[in-house]
Amino acid sequence: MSASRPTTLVVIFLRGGADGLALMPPLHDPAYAALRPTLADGTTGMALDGRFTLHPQLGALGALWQERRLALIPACGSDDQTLSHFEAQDLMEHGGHGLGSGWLGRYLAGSGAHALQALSMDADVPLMLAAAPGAMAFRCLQGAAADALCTARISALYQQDAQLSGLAATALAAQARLEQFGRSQHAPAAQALYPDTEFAATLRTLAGLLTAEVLELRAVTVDLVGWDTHVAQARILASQAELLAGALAAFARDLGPVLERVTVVVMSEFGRRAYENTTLGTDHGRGGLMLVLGGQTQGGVHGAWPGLAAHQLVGPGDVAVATDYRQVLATVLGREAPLPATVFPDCDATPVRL
Amino acid sequence: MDLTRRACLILGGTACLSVGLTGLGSLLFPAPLDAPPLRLPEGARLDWTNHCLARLTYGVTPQLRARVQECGIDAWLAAQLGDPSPETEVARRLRGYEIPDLEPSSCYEYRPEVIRSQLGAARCVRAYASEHQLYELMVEFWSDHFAIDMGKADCAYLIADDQRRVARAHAFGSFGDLLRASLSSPAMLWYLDGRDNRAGAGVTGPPNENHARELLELHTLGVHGGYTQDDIRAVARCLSGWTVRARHEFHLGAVVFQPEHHDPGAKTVLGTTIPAGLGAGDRDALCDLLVAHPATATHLSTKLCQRFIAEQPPAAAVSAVAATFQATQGDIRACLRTLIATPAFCGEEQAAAVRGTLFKRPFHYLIALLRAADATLADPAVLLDHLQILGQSPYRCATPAGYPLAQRHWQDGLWWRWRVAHDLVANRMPHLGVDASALQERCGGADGLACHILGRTATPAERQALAGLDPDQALSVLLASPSFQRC
Repeated sequence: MSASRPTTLVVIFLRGGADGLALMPPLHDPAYAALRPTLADGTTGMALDGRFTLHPQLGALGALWQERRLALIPACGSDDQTLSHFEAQDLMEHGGHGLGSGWLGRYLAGSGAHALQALSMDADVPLMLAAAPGAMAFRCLQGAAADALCTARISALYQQDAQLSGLAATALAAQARLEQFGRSQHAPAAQALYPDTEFAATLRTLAGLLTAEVLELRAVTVDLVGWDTHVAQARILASQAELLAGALAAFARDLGPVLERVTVVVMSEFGRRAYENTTLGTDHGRGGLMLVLGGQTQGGVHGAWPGLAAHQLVGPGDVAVATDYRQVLATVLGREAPLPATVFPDCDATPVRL
Repeated sequence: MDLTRRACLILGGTACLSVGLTGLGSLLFPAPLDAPPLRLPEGARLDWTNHCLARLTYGVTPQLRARVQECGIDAWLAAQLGDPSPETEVARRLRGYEIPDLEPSSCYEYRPEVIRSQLGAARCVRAYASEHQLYELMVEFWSDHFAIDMGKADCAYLIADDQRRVARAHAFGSFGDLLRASLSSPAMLWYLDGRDNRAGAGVTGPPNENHARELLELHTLGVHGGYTQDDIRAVARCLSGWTVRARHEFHLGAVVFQPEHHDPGAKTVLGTTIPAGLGAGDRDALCDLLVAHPATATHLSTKLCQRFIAEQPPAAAVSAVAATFQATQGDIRACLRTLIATPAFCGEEQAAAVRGTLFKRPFHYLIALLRAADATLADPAVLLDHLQILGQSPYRCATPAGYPLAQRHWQDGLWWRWRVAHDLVANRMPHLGVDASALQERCGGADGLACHILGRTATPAERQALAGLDPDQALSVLLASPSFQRC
C-alpha cells in the first residue's frame, strides 16, 4: 500500500445500549449463570480464550477471529452515571464532559483533514463528527443534479449564508464526485456474501466507496439501532447479532487487501445490567463491549475483566468499566501519528494493546 | 391557468373528465383567476403578520394570505388558538384512509406496511390541508414528545389508537390529561415495555424500568429534573400491573390492570410517599405528582420555546411559559398564548434575531413546499419516500426521545431538499402538481412571487439570483433558497 493513501476509521455505533455480556459471555465466571438464570441457557458459541465465548449468532465473525484480525474489549465504557441513552450517547460522542464538538471531528480537524474526508452513511452527521471539516451525510447526496443554471444560482445564495455556506459547498462538491461513483456499480468480491438487510446494503455501498477511492475518506460513521433489550432479550439479541456479524464479515471479505488501511470500531453507549429483569431482558448498565477489526489490529480479547461477583459489580448491579472507551479509540487513532491532545482533553487515554 | 387543467391536477385525469367539464370543480376549488389580487408583504424583513404565518403554520398558501388579508392577523391568531372543528375538506381528502379511525383489534387485520403508509399519508394530508395549522403543529410536537416507533413489536397495530387518543385528543388540552392518555396507551405500553412490568407472587427480581425511566427523563421532569435511580425504581413499581391484551386473548389491544401483578407496597417518589394499597390508583397519584412538579413545567416550557422561539430560548421566555404551566396545571393553549406574548416571540427589537431563523425539519419543509407553491396533492404517499431519506418518517423515530428539535441535526439534507424543490416545480414528482406561471401571475409578477415565498421583499442578493429566470426556475430557486429552509 502506498504510504500517502489515508487510512479510514469506520465507527459503527450500536444505538440503544448493546449487551456486552450476552455478546461475549464470560462463561468461566460462576456468577454469570446465577445472574442470568434464563438468558444464560447453556447454548454456547465459539470459545475465544478460555474465559469468554462468542454469542452463537456472531459466528460469522469466527473466521476473522481465527485470522487474528478481530479484537474484543470487554467492560468498556464511559463514566456516565445517568444510564440515559441520550446522555450516555452525547457524552461518548463528545469524548468527555463539557465539550461542544465531537472526538472524531476534533481528531480530523487537528490532523489536517480537508472537506470530503468524513462521511456519515445515515441521514445526518452524528455528534461525534461535529467540528469535522466538511462532514457529509451520504443518504441525502444521491441522484442527479437539478439544471445547472438553478444550481449555480442556489449555490450563490448559500455562499452568503453564514450558517449554511459550508454545508452547501460540501454537498455540491461531494455530490459531483458521487454522481460519477453512482454510474459505476460496485460488484462485491466473490467471497463477500452480504445478507439481505439495510445495514448490509449500507456496508456494501461503503465497501464500494472505499475500494473505488471516490473520496479520500478518513472517517465514516454508521448507526445500527435496536439494542435496547429490556424484554425478551434472547430473541432480539440473536437477530441483532446475526445482523451485525453477517454484514461485518461480508464487508471485511469484500474489502480484501483494502482492509489493511481500514479500521472498524464497533461501540455502544453502555452495556446492560448484569442480572436479568423479570421480563427476560436487561436494563441499562455500565461496562459494555467494543470490537476492533482490520487495519493493524492484533486479534484477541484485550483489556482487564473486572468480574461479576457481587463485590465486583457497581451501582445497582452493573459491570464495572475497566477500560475507558477513549483508551481504545486513542490507540486506534494514534497508530499513524501522535494523537493531538485536543481529541480527549480530560482523559490520559493509556493505550490498550491491540 | 385554465380551470380544467387545474381541476385535472387536483383530481387526477379520470375524475377530471366527469367533474371538470360540469363545472363542479369550481365549487370544490375556488378558481384563483376570480380571486382578488393578493396583497403581498412589502417590508424588507418579516413583519409581525408574516412572522406569525411562518412560525405558526406548515407554510403559507396564497389562500391563507388572502384570508388573513381579509380578517387581520389578530383574528386569525385567535381562531388558531380556538377549538379545532371538523373540516369537510380534510375529511374529503382522507376518504379512503380507514386505518386512522380503526380500533386496535381491527388494525390487527392489516399488514404493518399498509398501516404505515396510510397513517403517514394522513399526517401529510392534515398538515397540508387543515385550517387548524397551529393545532396540527402541536400534534406533531406531542407525537415527538411521546414518540413511539411503530416498527417495534405490536406498536404498528396500536399506533392509530395512540395518535387519536393521545396527541390529537389533547394537543390543545391539559398536559395532565395528555400524560394520563399516554400512560394508558396500549402502543406506549408495548413500546416502552410497560406491559411486561410485573410484580407480585411468582415474580422475583426487579421490575422493568424502561417506561419509568423515559417517563421521568423524557415525558415529564427532564434528564436534569432532579430524580434518582431510586425514583426510577419506585415509579416502575407504581406502574407495575398494567398490561395490554395480546393476540389469542379477548379484547385484543385493550389496556387492563392486573392487581395480582401490581406491587402493592408504599413507594416514595421524589420525596413524596404514595401510600400502600392504592392499586391502579398509583398511576393517577404519580401522574398528579409529576404534572405539579416544577421541573416538569420547566422541561415542557423549554421544549415549547425551542420549537417556537429559538433553539437556545431566552430564560425569561421559558420562565414566563413555565409560570403559566404551573398556574394552569399545564393548560397547553394558555402556555402557547403566553409564549406568543413574550417579547422573544413578538418583540420588534428581537425581530432580527428571532424571525426567519428556525431551520425547518424535513416534514415541515416538504409540506411548506407544497403549501407555498400552491401545489396539488393527489397522493401524499410520494412524500413518505422523501421523508425516509431525509430521516423523518412519521411514527418511525428510532428513539423514544422523538425527532430532535436541534436544528443542526437536520441541515445535512440540503442537497436532497434542492432536488425535491426542483422536481416538484418541474412536475416530475408523481401525484403532485405545480403551476409556477399561474402562481407568479397571481402574485402580480416575478417580484410578487418572491415576496409570497419569502414573506418579505427579496434582498439584493436574492434579486440577483432570480434575475432572468423563467417562473419555473425562479420558483425552484426560491424554494431551495436558504431563507425558505427556515421559518
